[in-house]
Amino acid sequence: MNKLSPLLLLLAACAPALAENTTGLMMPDGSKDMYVGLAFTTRSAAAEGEHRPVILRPLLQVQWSNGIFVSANGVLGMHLSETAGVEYGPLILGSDARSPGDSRRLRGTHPVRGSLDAGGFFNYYLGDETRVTSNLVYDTSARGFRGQVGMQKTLPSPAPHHTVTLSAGVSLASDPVMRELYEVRTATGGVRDYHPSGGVMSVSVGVNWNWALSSKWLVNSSVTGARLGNGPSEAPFVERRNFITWSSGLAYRF
Amino acid sequence: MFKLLLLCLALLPAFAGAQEDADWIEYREAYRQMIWFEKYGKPKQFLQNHFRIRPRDKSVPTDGLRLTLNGKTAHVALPLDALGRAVFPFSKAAYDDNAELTVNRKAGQLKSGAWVSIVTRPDGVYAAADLRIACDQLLAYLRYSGEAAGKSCAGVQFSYPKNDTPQVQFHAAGGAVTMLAPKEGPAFSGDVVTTFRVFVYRFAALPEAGQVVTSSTPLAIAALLE
Repeated sequence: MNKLSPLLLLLAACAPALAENTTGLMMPDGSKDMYVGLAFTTRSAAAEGEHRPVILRPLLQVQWSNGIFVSANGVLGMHLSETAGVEYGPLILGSDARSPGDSRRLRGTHPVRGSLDAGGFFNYYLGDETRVTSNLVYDTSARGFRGQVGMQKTLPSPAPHHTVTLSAGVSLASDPVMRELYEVRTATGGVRDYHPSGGVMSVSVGVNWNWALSSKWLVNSSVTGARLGNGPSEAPFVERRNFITWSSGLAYRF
Repeated sequence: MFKLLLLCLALLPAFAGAQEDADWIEYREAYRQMIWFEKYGKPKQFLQNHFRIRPRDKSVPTDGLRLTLNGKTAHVALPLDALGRAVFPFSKAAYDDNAELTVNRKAGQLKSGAWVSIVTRPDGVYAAADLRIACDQLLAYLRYSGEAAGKSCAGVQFSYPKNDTPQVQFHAAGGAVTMLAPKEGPAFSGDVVTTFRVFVYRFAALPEAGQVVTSSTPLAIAALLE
């Protein structure tokens, strides 16, 4: 599957989609802000073609007062900024393993070792409601860089306790990352030779809707439309260029 | 089954009624908004920061408005001044409890958040130079928190209850005394309640050196940003 869906990349940049911009520095020393829950979600795996089952996925997100945050999407990072309107820090993104033997369609692809990829994130606020997000990590499996640039805008609240955030972003990959994921060789059983080069992995737009039922319970829903870049979309095993993913779940805030 | 459904429907308004005129604010969200000022490192000795709730429109009554902090164990009433401002209790226990601040108004009737204003003095005498600095400090803080872009300090204004008859005078360094004229208006720009007695001190309208002397303590001193 796509190592990280565009949605997850967007979330990775800002870590929390459950909480808006809560950095560790804005809470008492020794405190944490934690969400735990379950969500129904579609898998966004381009490589899995049309078969994208709805799965139950854990929702988890923790922010500690020392700045460290984690989420169930395979994100670990740390807020270092003490300046209003700027967020930055180191970031580790987990990625999934994939084997050519996983499915007939993946014949001739490279085995992808699940890895922890290290880099950093940088977010910049344009006023209260809008921020530019970015991240860049070194993919230790592919030995190349991948990153994401995006923008998020929180809309005026449609109703009390409802928060709607729009996002748009582009995820990019260097040659080695693109090849590891999408290169196909007939020598290893592929239907045809395919050698993509670095560039746009995908562009996406999404909407995230949080409904706080109380200070403890939260319903989080999101829909994202993504369009794969040329590198991924022309791969022999990728059948669709555009796809929509959604997620909806309930979380408890500790 | 049908009867049960009817019963439920009949009882629904009663339950809804019980829910009326109450809304909540996440303590953590309020804490996050309030802590900015505490962590602000630039000069702020003339400023104060409150947690403020204010009506969204004129139809929302402000009489009898109450703000309560509800944690796991503690229920603390937070006294509000005439402008809906409360001293915010910074509490790790309340944060860790994921407490709620509750108000006795319907959801959506009030706005809430951090509110910075200029501190009043018990002696009622304000050096003109201090008021200019106070306004500059407030403007600098608002810019830091992403507001008031492109504005500058034009003056400050003193607000009193509408039935008060205080005097606010400007004593120039040379000895000349100017009475500031009251007008009816909002205590802070953007407020929907506009029935306060407001004295506007425009820096440009009076000599640079002098004092503002008030006969009683105002409800609030706001910066005039234009």
